[in-house]
Amino acid sequence: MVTGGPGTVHTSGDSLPSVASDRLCGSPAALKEEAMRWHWLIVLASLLGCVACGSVLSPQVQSLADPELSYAQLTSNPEAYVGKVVIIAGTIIEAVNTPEGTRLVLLQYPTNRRGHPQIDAPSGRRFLVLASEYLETAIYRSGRALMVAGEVRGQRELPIGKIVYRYPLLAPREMYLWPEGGGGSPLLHFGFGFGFSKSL
Amino acid sequence: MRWWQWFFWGLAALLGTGCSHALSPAVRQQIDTSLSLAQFRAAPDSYKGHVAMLGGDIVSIRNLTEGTLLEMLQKPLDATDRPLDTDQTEGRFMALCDGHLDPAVYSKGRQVTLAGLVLGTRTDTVGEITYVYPLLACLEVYLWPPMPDTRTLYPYGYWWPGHRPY
Repeated sequence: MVTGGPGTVHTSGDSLPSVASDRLCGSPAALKEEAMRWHWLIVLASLLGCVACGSVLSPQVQSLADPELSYAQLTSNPEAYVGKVVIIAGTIIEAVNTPEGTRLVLLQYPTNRRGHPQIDAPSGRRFLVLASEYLETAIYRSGRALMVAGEVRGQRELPIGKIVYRYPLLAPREMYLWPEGGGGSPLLHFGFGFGFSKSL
Repeated sequence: MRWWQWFFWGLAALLGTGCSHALSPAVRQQIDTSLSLAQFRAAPDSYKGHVAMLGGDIVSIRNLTEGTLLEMLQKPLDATDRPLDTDQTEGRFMALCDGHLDPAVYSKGRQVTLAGLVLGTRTDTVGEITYVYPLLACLEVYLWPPMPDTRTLYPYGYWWPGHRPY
């Protein structure tokens, strides 16, 4: 790697250090052009970064959520937290259209820095999300990553195999279905790939 | 002709073959291009006899005595009439096709573009509710080859700085 890489050229602006010019062996004009190119790549990369790091839920609903309430507390005694708003990220494991609305069973996971559920992290908590409207279960299908800001409505018991599982019941205020592809957009990866191939 | 004229016609021929549509010209000229699935769903009986072009993903396939019943999830079509890989949809519909379509080939999740004669509706269950499907009789069905997985074509995720597999 060239040590006087993108960072040096970018921060120094017009007056380029002699180290950089020795290494790049170019005329000042060519160097300036090189600096401009890097400048744009850095601006573009940071813009893409900001887009990727923004939260998928609205600030309004996020401010409603209770940050003190842990998932463990909620699953152990859902009735005690009726009316509270919680944010849950996870994968859909069951989606059924019922007369009372669309019932989604969500397997909760911790989120990574982009807010996407990290499906290789330990989980085990199930939540029942009951949307009052019809949701297309061919879209909201098993395996898709979903983020829900939901109001706790109590609990509901449903069978899993031969046992009965007690689910915390949520009524969604806001939902975000992650696009398919495991949490990283291919476009973003392509951008980074292109930028770094220039530096090599 | 000059060399660039050869070049131009060659390029035009190449592009022409690239843009060929899924359905045959004979069927395509019968299509009522203004008819969307949403309109059809709102007034299924008033469009009887119209030919609609719809595309989407196969939700289920059933081989019945009267033919093959495709349950489809509608998706918007691109310029070549291929269904887009998107969550945008106008809902489900059904298409009844003559003869036997193999469920192993026309499997769940495959993309299909079809032209069909509007028949009306068919009621079936989705989960625990009843769903009224707009129903078509297939005139022509095109099964798209599966999409290549872009994640294996561009595996940049594994080496860009800051990437952690766990």
